Amino acid sequence: MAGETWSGAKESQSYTTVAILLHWVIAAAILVQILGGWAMEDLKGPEKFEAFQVHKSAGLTILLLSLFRLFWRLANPPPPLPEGMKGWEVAAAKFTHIALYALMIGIPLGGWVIISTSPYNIATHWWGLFEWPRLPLADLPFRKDLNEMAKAGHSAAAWGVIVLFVIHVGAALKHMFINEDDVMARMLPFMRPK
Amino acid sequence: MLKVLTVASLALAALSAPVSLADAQTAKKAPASKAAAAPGWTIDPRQSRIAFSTKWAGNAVNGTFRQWSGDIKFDPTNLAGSQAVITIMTGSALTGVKEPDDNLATADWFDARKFPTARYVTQSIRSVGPGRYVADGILTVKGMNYRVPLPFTVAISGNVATMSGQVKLDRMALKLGLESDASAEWVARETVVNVAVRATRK
Repeated sequence: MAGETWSGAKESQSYTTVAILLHWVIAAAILVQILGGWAMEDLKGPEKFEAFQVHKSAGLTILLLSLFRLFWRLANPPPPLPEGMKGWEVAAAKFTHIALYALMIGIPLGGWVIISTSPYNIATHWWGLFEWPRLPLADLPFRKDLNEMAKAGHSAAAWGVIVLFVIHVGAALKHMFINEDDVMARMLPFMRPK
Repeated sequence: MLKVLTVASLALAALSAPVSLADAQTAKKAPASKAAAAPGWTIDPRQSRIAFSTKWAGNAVNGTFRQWSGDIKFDPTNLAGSQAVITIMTGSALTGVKEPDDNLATADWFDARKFPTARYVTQSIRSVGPGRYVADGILTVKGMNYRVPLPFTVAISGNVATMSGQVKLDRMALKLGLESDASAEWVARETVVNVAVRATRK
């Protein structure tokens, strides 16, 4: 499969339906996670507990979907960027996409580290279906420092997503309305290029 | 029966004093008295219990220690020779609520692996009314000693004694959950401990 794409002969001009679906589902989930993640800090008691359960379930779902998406992308390479893009534009696009993948996978992993190094042994009920295990970090001598670092990184990384989101959407809109190419359209559902 | 005891002990709640740090020296001392020991009592485990009430995430949580033992010498007419030594298995705390039960034995709470037992040793017992007493004792939790007065009632009928006491403890003062929840956002600071014992004369 990879050989075919390397040859360029069968390189697709559009994203697969699976890739488009993953893009939008994960994008929506990330939006909910960032807004909800900050809002839930203000809740109290059982509501806060439930909000954390949803946040943890959604984050771990993003982790699973993003890992699947990464493998899907490697097996089904995205369509090439349009001809005529400047070198720095191609580099910026590449960097932004790699950084977004890193955060999509890294932030939930960091969240998993937080709950695994917390002095509080609060079980994560994944969408109420089963108990998600903790990483075996509870007995580390530097558990407390790791927990503090992971917490600080978790919210800092959320800001990273926001910055990348602005660049990502801004670039997509530029392709659509200034360059007038199909870079954005090919990721929109029901707007597959003819 | 137990319910009656608990209700009776509620009246004593107002008397319970806050926990204060006791110096380790005091705890190691034997009871001050040189009086002859009072007769011993055998605890009936099925009709005795050490229960605690607190709040988790705003909801009441009631638990018990399922494993504990006691060595009780008591005679209302020989309080100087009376003493109770209660040993509690810290890992046996059970509330029936998952989150507290997942945490009670962990390092930041009872640290049951390192400190499998907690202990309450009375230093002296004084009478404060008919059938009403206050034990001045040392509570040892996670290797630290605290002076904890325990008000209690005792009713003796033939060879059977029923004892009931209640004390309010501040979990923060006992260094329980200091890292997990220092602001008492999830677990209330105040824990009400109810002790109900039924014992027969040895």
